[in-house]
Amino acid sequence: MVDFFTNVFFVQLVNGLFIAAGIYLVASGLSLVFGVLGILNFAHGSFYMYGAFFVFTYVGFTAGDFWPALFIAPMVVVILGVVMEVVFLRPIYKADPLYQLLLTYAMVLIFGDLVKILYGAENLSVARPEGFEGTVTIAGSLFPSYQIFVLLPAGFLTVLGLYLFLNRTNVGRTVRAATQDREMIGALGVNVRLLYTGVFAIGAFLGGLGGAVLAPMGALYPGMDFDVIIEVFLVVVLGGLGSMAGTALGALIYGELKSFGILWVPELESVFIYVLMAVVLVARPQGLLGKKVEGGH
Amino acid sequence: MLLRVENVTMSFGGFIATNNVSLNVEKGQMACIIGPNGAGKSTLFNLITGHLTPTMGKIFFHDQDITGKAPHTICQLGMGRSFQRTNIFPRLTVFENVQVAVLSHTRKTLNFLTPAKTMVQEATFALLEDVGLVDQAKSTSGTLSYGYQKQLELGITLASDPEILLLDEPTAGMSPQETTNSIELIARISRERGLTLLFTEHDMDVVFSVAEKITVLHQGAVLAEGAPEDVKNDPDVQRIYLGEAA
Amino acid sequence: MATSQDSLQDTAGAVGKGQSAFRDPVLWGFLVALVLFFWTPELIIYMEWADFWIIFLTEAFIWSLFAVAFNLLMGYGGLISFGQAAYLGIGGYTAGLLLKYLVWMNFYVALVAAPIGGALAALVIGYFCIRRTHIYFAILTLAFGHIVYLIAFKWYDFTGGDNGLIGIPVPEWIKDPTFVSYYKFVLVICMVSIYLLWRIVNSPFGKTLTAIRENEVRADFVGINVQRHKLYAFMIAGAFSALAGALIMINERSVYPDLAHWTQSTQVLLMSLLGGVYTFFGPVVGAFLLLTMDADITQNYPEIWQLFLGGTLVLILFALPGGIVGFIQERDENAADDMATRMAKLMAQFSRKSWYFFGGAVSFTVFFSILQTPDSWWISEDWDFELLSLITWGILPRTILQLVVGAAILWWLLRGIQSFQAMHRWLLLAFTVLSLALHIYLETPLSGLLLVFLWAVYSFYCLFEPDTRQAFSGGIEVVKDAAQEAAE
Repeated sequence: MVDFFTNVFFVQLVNGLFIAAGIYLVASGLSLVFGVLGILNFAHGSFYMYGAFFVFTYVGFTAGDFWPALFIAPMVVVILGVVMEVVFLRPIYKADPLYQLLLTYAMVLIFGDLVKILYGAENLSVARPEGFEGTVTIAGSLFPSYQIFVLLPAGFLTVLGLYLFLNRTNVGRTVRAATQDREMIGALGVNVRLLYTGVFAIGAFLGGLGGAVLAPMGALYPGMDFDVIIEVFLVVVLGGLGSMAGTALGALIYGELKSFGILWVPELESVFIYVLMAVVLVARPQGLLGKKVEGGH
Repeated sequence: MLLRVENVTMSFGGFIATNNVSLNVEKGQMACIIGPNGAGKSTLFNLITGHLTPTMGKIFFHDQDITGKAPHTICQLGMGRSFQRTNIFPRLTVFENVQVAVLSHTRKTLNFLTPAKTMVQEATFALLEDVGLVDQAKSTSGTLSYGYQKQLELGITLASDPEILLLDEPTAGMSPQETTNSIELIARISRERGLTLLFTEHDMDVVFSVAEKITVLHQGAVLAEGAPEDVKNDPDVQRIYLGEAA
Repeated sequence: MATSQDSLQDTAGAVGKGQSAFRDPVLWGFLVALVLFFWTPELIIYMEWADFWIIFLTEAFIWSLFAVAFNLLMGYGGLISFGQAAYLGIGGYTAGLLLKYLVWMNFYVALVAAPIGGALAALVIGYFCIRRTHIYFAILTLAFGHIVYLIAFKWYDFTGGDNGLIGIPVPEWIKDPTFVSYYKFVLVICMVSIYLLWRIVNSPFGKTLTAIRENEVRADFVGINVQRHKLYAFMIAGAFSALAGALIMINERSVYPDLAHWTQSTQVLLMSLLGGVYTFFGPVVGAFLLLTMDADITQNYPEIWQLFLGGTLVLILFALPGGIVGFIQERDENAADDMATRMAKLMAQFSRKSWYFFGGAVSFTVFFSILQTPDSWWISEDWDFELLSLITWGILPRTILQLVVGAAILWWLLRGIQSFQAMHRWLLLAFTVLSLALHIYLETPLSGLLLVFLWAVYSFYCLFEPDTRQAFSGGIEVVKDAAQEAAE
């Protein structure tokens, strides 16, 4: 009996990690972009969706060659992202932040219908790559091998990669300085335009990568951008907007809460996380690991 | 004693912005706080008006403890404040700017159905008359010149019928002509209304022409205090100001 | 000095203290509109137009109420809520659940319960949301809105989950197959509610709310309890949104979780933006415009509806930040200007805006022509040479004709207007009315019609103003002379 409970606990814990890794892949890009540009990008969900759909296209063309798609699909998304940043966002950086938010929302609508025109409204799916269709047994429990060998390492590598990039490279340090104090970077002699475009491109890449990695795990459909973006908002707000460590922590809490919540209240498991967010925001408005927000008292 | 600041300390993280500051302002007095940039003048103002809560120490207004009270409560107790950067309601007309303040003072803002246009007109126009803005009443306040905006801000502040007026750098950014006009206006109004004045100022000519009592802040602490002549001759003060000038 | 004071008191005098509210011109405007719209269904039936239009008008009025309530937050309070549809859902479910599960429940009691439920929910949710501003407020409202949606979607035992609540009992008279009686019911409720909201935004509370939007820190230090006022605004918006939700529910006699979905929240946001957030009636115009465009486009091309919405939103943000009503009302005025300068400025602006309207109307017609008959660029298949039935002409000849003839006439008229020729004023009004008539005759899609209609309204609004009227009847010469004399 005890064995059964520890077993269930272990399975839910690992499942929670799966969810956390998936949401982190998408959320990290959003958080990075917010930290530097101060824009909450609604269209980030669209990048995720396009990442997944481009994988579908690539795998279709090459008849089942999955792995290169993990790089190529996000790179195509980067092109979309850069075009969006240069054409639409650049002219309104000085405008009211809410106008920027609305503009990215307009992009969501446009991207959403373009997907419908390009791919149709039906559900599509991407087969898992060869060798990762089955399950593996860990400590007596069965887990899907794709999640164990691809998703978890991808999430972990993204955390590590972002950490090394932000802390060990010069460009990364500049980006980090920008998240600390956006006003200051102009004074540092940095090409702000290039920095913004670059960071937006990285954000788009991460969003696309999230979509690409998650593509074989579920159905692809127009509207998946809507479904993911709210949860991503939740995670970054919980962890602290603009804080990369906060995003990772938020993703972890989100994943585990959702995973264990299903066990107890299967119908309302998602409500938990919203309640948690409300409580956190009242007690600690800047999020768990966020920097103090200006103007609040 | 109208306003009493007792041993107030404010620290942000590790940085101490005001250190054990005590200050008294008597009714009807024109008191001034001076000090170099970063001396903690604005922080002290924000502490008094409730925008910040001190780490240590107490603030009394009319012998009532107001430490940590919300700004709107402190305002309702009879403290008026103008800000260093002009702080008006830019897309409202001049009339509406003052009217809102009067409505708030007379506690009429929770009236949901009466048309506001006709309310508190006389009081509003009396205030506009006082600060010389009747002709601009219908203009959108954001389009006014800087000097006019400062006058308007004074009008908004006066609407709450304060006993004490806290002015943070009332002449900052003004031309010499505007400075003279504005100081005359402030002096006249506080005389007429018997107001107590506490202000910060960087222009020493203004300070010595108006202030009855001067407090010098330096690195967050009170360096000297007293009548203008005494402060002028204080060796410490001279060192800071003259030393900086040299 | 005395003059501006007097004139202010003059304008205010219309609703002076202690005087009857019946001297308020806005109230009369509401009453006239109410009477006109009250008999519209009879007209529709008499003209044998489709019943669809009665249903359409019903929905348009409900959405107008929702949009105006939403704009109390966005335009007047500066609080952009991305979760306003939650209250739509709460209203719909409150009334729906009461009617469905309590057999003895009176229809009208359930209808009154909806706004109360909405206000209570807004009190709880607002408690968390109004502490934060800007982006955080947007996200928080989005998140709480989503909670409401999730509860409706997932709590099968109570709300029916995604199957919704169906077969909600309503009084017999609502089931009128021509939809006329429910239309009238909705019309009266919405008109009264919108009038109440009009009173609210013009009350001291409304003014205070605007002050908070403009400058929160300053508002705090004139003694305004900012949080409390925001919370009340949130509750008022929640209550009226919930009322709109209940009306939608009764209209369909069922309620689905989709009513609370955040796409509805953004729809209402778009209505406000399109019409003009800093105007009271902008959201109403926005609601009508967006719904007609919806009807025009989704009928035939549902797959590009969102694309169209997104494009419109981008266009508004870059080109028309004040919305359509804001665009109409915007004036380049200076308090110091004399009458002659003011009029000259007004007419210059009038010309410029007329060109915008003209350009907008032409591009609209082209856009919908391409949608409706994508292949007939030069000539359509059932072409026969009839001068008036331009619809059988191809898209290009028709557009060229519209552009060349229309622009030539407009240019000539506007030149006359700028030099204050009384005749041209009348001709221009006739011109806008004629283009409206022509568009009706040619059966332009409704949103195009609405655009031309707005143009006509704008022209009347500008050219029939007392000052303008005086200027055109020779008054301007007198004013000019006086100014010149004063200068000499």
